[in-house]
This record gives sequence, C-alpha cells and structure tokens, in this order.
Amino acid sequence: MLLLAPAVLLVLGLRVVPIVVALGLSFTDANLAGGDDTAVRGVGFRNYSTVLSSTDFWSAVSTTAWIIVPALILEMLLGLAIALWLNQSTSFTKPFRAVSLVPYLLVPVVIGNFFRMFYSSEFGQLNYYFSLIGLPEQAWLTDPSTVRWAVVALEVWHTTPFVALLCLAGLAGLPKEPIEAAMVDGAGAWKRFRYIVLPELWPILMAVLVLRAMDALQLFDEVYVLTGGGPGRLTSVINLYLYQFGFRQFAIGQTSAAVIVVVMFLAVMSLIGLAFLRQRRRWTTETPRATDY
Amino acid sequence: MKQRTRVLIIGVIAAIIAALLGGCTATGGNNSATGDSIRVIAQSGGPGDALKAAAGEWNKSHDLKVNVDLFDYDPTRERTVLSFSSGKNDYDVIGMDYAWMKQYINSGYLTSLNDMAFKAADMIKMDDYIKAYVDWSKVDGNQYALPWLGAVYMLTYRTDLLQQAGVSVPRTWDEYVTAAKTLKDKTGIAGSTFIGKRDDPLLDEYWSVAWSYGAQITTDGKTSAMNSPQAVQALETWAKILPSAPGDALATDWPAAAAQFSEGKTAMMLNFSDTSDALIADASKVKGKVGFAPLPAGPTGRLTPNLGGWGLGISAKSKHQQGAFDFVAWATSPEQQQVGLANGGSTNRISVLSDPANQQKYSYFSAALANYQESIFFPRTEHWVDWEAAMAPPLSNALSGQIPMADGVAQASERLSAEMAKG
Repeated sequence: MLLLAPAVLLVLGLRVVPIVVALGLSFTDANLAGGDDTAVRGVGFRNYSTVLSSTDFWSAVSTTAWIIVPALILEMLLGLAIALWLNQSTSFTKPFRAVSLVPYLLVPVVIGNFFRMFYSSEFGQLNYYFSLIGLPEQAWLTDPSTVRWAVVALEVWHTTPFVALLCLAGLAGLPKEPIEAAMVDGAGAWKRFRYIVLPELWPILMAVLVLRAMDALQLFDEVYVLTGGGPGRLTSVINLYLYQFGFRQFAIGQTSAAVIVVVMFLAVMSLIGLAFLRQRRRWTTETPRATDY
Repeated sequence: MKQRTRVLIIGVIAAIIAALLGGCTATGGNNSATGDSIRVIAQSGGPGDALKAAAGEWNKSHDLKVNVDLFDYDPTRERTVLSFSSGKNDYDVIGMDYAWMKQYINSGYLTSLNDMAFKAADMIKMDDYIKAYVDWSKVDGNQYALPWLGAVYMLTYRTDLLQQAGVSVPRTWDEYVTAAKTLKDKTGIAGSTFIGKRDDPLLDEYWSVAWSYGAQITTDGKTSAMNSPQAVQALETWAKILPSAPGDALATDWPAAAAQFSEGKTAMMLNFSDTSDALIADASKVKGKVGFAPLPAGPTGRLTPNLGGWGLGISAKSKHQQGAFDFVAWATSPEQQQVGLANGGSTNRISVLSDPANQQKYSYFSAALANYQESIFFPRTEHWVDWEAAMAPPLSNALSGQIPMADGVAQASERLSAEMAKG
C-alpha cells in the first residue's frame, strides 16, 4: 500500500483536488478580479443555468463539433492508410516511420503560427502554390466558407501521425496466420483488408477514435493563434469560450461550471473508450488464434 | 531491504511535500510588503524597455531600488489580477491599459494619487499631458494613474504611391474609401490596411470611424445606444474599404497591419501611432516615403481617433507608496519622456510632441498631436472586457458577410445591453 502512496498523492493532488475545487467554485460567484478580501457567495445552480442557456456556449459547442467531426473522420482514414503503408517493411518506410511523427511532436502554438503564415492571403505559401496553377488568391482565414476547413486541415496535419502510430501498433499485434492463409486461398489485398485486418483492428480503431475525440475537444492553442475565434464566432471552440470567461473576465465561478459540464461530457466519452478497450481485451482473450490450434 | 524501501518511500513523499511548501514560502518572499525594493509591472515593447532603462538610471542615485517586470499585453493583466486576488501583492507600481483601470479601482488595487500629485505638481506638470489621458485616469475626482504610454489612431500613407496615383491625402471617410480603391486600381497594391480581427482590434478601428458619424456606445452607462442609423452607416462605409485591403483583413491586428504597410503591401494604413517608429527607422523598407496625417472626418465634421494608452498607478497595498510615486512622477516627466524616446519610449507630453526638433526627427509627431487633441477613449467601466466580447462577434459576422450590416449593429447593441443589465 505504501508503494502506491506517491502515485495516489499525485493523482489526488493533480486530478481529484482540482476537480473537487472546480466543482465547489461552480456553485459560487467567485471572480478573481476582486481583491483578496472580496467575499465569495454561493449561487446554487445559477452558473450552470447561465452557461446552459448561453447562446455563446452552445455556439462554441456546435463550432467545436463542426471542426472536430470532419477532422476525426479524415484523421482516422488518413492515419489508417498511413499505418497500412508503414506496416510494409521496405527500406523507404522504416525511416519514414520516425519522420511521419514530426508534426505531432511540434508545439501547438508553433503550428498555429506556422499555419497563419501558410494561409496568409498576402504572404502565404498556399496562395503562392495556387497562383502557380492559375487559381485565384483566397482569404483562407477570413472567408466564412474556408476558415473552418482551414482549422480542420491544421488539426488533421497535426494529429494524423498520432492516429497512424496507434494503428501501426495495432497492425503489428495482429496474427499473421489468417492473412497468410487468405493469401494462399487467393484473396486479394482489398479482401484481406476488408474481411481480416479491419475486423481485427476495429476495437483498436474505436478506442483511438474516442481518445482522439477527447483530445480534439481540448483544441485551443492553434485556434487562438490562427484566428482568435473569428471571424464572428465561426472558430470559437469551447476552450476559447472558457478562456474568455476564465482569463479575460476572470469569472472563475461561471468558468468552473462550464468546465464541469465539459468534464462530464469527457467522462462519458472516457467510459465509452474504456468499454471499447474492455471489448478488445475480451476479444483477444476469447478468440482462438491460428497459433492456438 | 524492506525497511530501506520504506525509508526511501517516506523520504520521497517528504521531499515532495517539502518542495510544495517550499514553493509557497519562496513566492511569498516576493511580496512587496516585505520587500526592500519597488516592483513595477508593465507591458513589454519599446516603452517598457525605456521604462526599464529609466529605472536603471534612477537606481544610481536612490537607495530604494526599482525593478521593472515586463510582460506581454494579456499576461500583464493576468499577473496583476492574480497577484492581488491571491493576496501576494507583488507590485508597487501597476502598469495598466486604461481599459482595465476601473476594475482595478473597484477591486481596491489602486490608491488615489491626489495628495502626492498635488505636492509634486511642479515636477508633474499635469497640464503638459495630453488632456484626454488626464481625464481618462481620473475617476470621481481622484487621479489613479499618471499617463505613461501614448498611442492614438492616425492615418499613415505612402507619399510616392499617392503621388503616382494622383490621390490627395483623404480628409473624410468617403474620400478615404475612394482613395483606397484608386490606389489599388492604379498601383496594384492594396489601398489600405483594415484591422478587423475580432474583439479589441476590430472595435478600436470601428469606433474611430463610428464616433465621427455620431454613433455612441452608451449615453448613460446602463443601456446600449449603439443601434442607430449612424452606427450602421459607419459600419457600411468602413466595410467599403475591405475590397481594397489585403485579404486577411478580418484576421489582421495592429502589428499585422503595421507589417503589411512596412513591407510595402499597402498604400495607406489606419493604426495606432506607436507603430510609426518602425516606419521611420533606418531599417524600414518604406523610410523616406511615409507621410502621417489626422484621421479622416465623418459626417459630423469631426475626426474621432480612438485613444489607446497605459498609465502607471500605485498599489493600494504597497508599503512604498511615496517612493513608488516619486519614481513614476520622475519617469513620466517631460524630461524623462524626452530621454526615453531614444530607448523606444512613446510620449504623451504636449511639450515633447510639439518640439520642432522632435517633429523634425519623428515625422509623425505633428500628426499624432493633431489626433491626440481630438481623441476619444472608450467608456470607463470595470466590465469593458465583457462589453468588447458582446459587441465584437456580431460586427465581425457582418463584415464577413454572414449577416447584413444593420443586423450586425442591432445584435451587437442587443448583446451589449444584456451585458450592461448584469451590472
């Protein structure tokens, strides 16, 4: 028991205590902008009512969904495709495994600044390449029809390597015998993927999807640097909304209520993710392998 | 072995707890109440560097030393607020955007400077400050800050491109729209910058136009007065500049606009005066080809440039209030502002701005002075950040064509009224 004490202390100190404090604050009118002698009063569920009836909050929720749903779909498709390619052991794919991780290792603020320059209508490389093939310049970050896709593309570029890495690990763990047997039976690449690889990889893909969805909900730095949430509220994701209340208006009570709402949503997603992982574990222990015979 | 492991684990836990507690006492040691120096918090950049240099000079002849901590714009406010709300009270001199001042006063961060300013009137020379700054830093008859960093909206233009296109310096907003279009058509370069990034950048420029049309944010501080034909007309006129501006206009803030102009990408620029030094510096690509002018006027016949700027106040919790005030009064005196110009400082002293030698060296001083004298500052409210967050998104929506201009103004006004109703 004593051996677990440091870990328990860390989890309590860094995870449980902040959530309990935030839960407590969410029922108060705490505002950091007041002095240290400002009284903090209980307000019941008023903060939750304010947050849940706020058009800005729901606008942030829908904006976040608008950005992360297409981003997740593209990341999963591209990540899986890259993983399948990297899983082939050739002289080219081996070094590329390391190189392909580079975008994921970069700091989000750096990526945001890089893409801001990349998308710039005046100085950006993207418009330069467009001009080479005779296409007109675009105002990627201010045109309502392109700005959200610009954020989606950034997110896909940043996190696809992470998805590819996890898929690659999953592919490496698959039994080879069924695939080899299918090859002997004359199954083509598509059929082997459709009927053997994909079903075996499915629980892992679902777990990766849930992990990525939870991570994507925390999108902030890149958007803050890239667009600041504009134009209008087109890229005001949930964390920008929280930042606005927490660090510009210092309304820490109301911010805590919004955080608790988001945390509850994340908790539900975590449970779904854990369910998939349990399904995977049960599947791997119960399903007979070719090597078991 | 088991005993040694147990001792090791207990040691690690004790070390963690000691480190945590040690952190608490270490930060507590920075408290200005127990410190033997004056701590200043202010924004980084040229004026911040000049303030730091002034502190170095001050420290040569004073026992009570001054230390200047410089941060970016938002972190300056975050650190100040957290310092007071946590009870640490680290700073004696509080550098602040005037937009934050009312909240600082209401939260008890600042002390009135009336008595100290009265005693040091000869050195302060209050009449020599731009009057709007003195008015801005006075609440209910109490002076809470001495003006430090000056910046006012103004018009900057490329003399060579205006000559090439046969365009005169515009004097009204309608002329400005036409000039921007002509410049783009005849030179192939964007006619004007457009600072349309959501929140403060957008609002600073919009209201520099809108006030000159007679629009107002509020008349009583309790309800929005924004929803007016004048506000809509101003937004429509301002939006007419967009086709002549760089494509990123709605993501452009003050530094980005300054970069566009200094890189020769635009023929005219609307921006704060503190971006001008870089344009006349030796390294500037447009040096010798830049002119400065008063902002165009609206239908009211007035030019109404938005006033930006910072003041230096004294912490109500400081143990060195008189010493801190003495430093601030000295550092913002006309003589020190003159010295500070060489270190990146920006002045808000009439005597410094109108000095012929300075006007020769800093070619924007004359136009800046003209703009300062007509300048308007935003309403003093502790909720200004909330008001900004209410107004900006609908205006940004309208500028990006998602909703009609009139709807943008109406929604901004409605949201603003809702914020004001919260009190």
